[in-house]
Amino acid sequence: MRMAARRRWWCDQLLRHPLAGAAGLLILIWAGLPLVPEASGLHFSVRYRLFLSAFAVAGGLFFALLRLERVPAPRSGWGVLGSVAAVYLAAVGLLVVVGSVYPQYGLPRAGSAVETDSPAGRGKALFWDPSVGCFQCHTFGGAGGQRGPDLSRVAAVAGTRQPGVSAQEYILGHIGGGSSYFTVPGYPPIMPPFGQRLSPEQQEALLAFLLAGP
Amino acid sequence: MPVDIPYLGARTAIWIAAQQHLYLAAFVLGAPLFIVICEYLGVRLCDARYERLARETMKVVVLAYSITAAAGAAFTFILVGAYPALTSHLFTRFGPVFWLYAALILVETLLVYAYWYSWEPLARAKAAHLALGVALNVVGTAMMFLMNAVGAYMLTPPAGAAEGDLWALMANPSWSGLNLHRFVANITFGGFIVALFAAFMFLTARDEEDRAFYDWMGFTGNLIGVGTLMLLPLAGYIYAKELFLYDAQIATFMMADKLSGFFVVQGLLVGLIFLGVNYYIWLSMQRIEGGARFLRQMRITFAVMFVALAIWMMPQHFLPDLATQPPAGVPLTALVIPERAAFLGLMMAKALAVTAMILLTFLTYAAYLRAQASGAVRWGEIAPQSQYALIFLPAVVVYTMGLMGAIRELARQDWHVYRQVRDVSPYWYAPTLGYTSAVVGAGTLLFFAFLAFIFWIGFKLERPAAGEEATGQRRKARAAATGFAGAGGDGK
Ligand code: HEC
Repeated sequence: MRMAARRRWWCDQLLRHPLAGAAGLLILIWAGLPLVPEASGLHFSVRYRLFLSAFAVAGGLFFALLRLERVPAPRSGWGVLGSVAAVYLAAVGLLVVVGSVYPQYGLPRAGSAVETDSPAGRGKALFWDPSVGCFQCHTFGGAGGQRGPDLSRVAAVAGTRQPGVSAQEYILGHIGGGSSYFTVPGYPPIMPPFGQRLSPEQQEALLAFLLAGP
Repeated sequence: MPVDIPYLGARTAIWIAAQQHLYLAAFVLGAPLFIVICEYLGVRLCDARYERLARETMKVVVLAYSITAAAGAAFTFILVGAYPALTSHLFTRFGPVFWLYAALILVETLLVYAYWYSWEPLARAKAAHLALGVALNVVGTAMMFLMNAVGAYMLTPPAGAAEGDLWALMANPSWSGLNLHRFVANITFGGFIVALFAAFMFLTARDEEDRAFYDWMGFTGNLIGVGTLMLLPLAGYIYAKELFLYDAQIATFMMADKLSGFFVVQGLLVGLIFLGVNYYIWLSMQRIEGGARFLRQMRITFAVMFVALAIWMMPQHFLPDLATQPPAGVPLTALVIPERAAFLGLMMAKALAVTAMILLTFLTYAAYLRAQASGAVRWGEIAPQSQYALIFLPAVVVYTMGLMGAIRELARQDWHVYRQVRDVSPYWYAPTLGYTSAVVGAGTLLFFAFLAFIFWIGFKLERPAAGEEATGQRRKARAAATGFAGAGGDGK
């Protein structure tokens, strides 16, 4: 019973002083979280702590807003217009700032324009070309997507996928036919066929690039 | 030779023009859907407030109508001038669609004016007036579906459809998803704009009766907005699923590659909308006698919502796209979500967070209804800051529409028509989130500048002189309720 009463008292205090509550959360985030050992798999880096801090602060401000008494309405038409404009500038400003501080990519992505002499170089350009899009599903050398398997070491496994099919043949077949040619176990069959979309030279270039490895 | 546009560039210019047209058109098409319903409710429930809501909103629609057309014309001019190859591609394939569209614009215009100007003449023949309103909505929705077909086609052209097969081009894989999503969202948007209008009128109202009415109108507009808002995550999911089935690469580009950061901001936007809505209910609750007993439950709701929002927005990593490597000297672990928390970055956790927000909002409304059942609502006595919530909400809603629209267009990557007409202009690439935010922010403010103009011109300038004002308004309200206003008496 005493415990419940004390808990209730704490809750009331927190609600009465939401900014103090936010400060408490900030202390937890910046003094507590860094103590979590890396090996636990729950060690949040500085960027994530900043992210969480934003919520703590916003939450504190929001609960402070709930405690606000009745504010008087502006008295003149211009006062209304001015206060409305202020709300809009603040809201839109906040959103634009958030959009601008979020990590930005470079402009534009080196892609279709890259032309090199070696087939492997041309294959690399194709792999990272947004309109071909291999990288959107495949990781290569540490960057790329995760829907498909990491292709950094595909040269080593390609020859073992189907008995009697060489690495070259398998990779070319997979590029040409997509998932309908062969589906690596554990992955969804979503790879589109590129046989029509890419010329034979382009497919050969991709093969050379994949066989060379990162 | 395509023309470019100085300073802004062709892409940003067409972006802003198209966006303004879309905002205005969404309102002009969405609002009449519930205007007619409200007019009907006014008759059915014998509640004059519904009639007045319908009528004042329709006046805003009429004023906005010509600005919509002007923005549409600007959009078309830039399209033809700066993107001639795309224009001719679309016109050769969708010719009859554009002709039909042009004809429907004419019909729609006639219907808008007929519906508005016959309001009093047909005050005694409500069924005829309602029929006009229904016709207006049927034509308006048909127009929207036509243009949705073209817009959807640009992202998901049907594979192997012959040039002459118009229906196959129209019924392309994402048409139905886009239709559904836009139809619902237009109502949502209209509802929030009605609430904005009501808030503006509430704050400038001079007498108690008006304040009570606009308080009610704001609440009702907000209710329309929220009620349909809850359907949108599902509609969005259906739409995204269509895109995913059409081409997994589009989905990847959006959800994991260049546009992934855009979706983090989307989380923020939708979270702000839900928080704003619940904050408004929090204040609404306090104008019900005995409503205070529900405030404790609502505080818990708010706390849970913040947690849900944090989960929704938690990015899997702080890399802007799939090709960017961490900057020199920064280890990958500094940018990636910790292993054990990785599930927070996945779709499953985010879907749960959204669902929680929707359910909590339901509960808030349920509590509101219970409070209403046992205590009288003191309309007009709501704390004025509530009106700023109603003003804030449409700002976020409009920004959301702008950003989501940008995602839909940018999903085409360097194509005008996905894998068919390549974008060879200097603006073929996806702009950064920062640039996109600036354009969307400017577009949002521009739209509200138009709205402020409309509200001011339509409702503040033409008011009777100061002394007469209050009685004039009251007379008008009563007239609207009973149908005896001026010319209304001798109309058929
Ligand atoms: C939409 C996503 C997607 C795109 C785009 C994509 N892939 Fe795939 N890919 C997959 C998936 C999923 C698998 C595993 C399932 C399967 O085998 O089909 C796969 C498997 C492969 C394999 C076999 C790997 C192995 O370990 O056996 C190769 C090789 C490959 N892809 C190459 C490419 C190349 C080259 C491109 C670009 C031309 C490409 N992929 C584009 C999704 C994709």
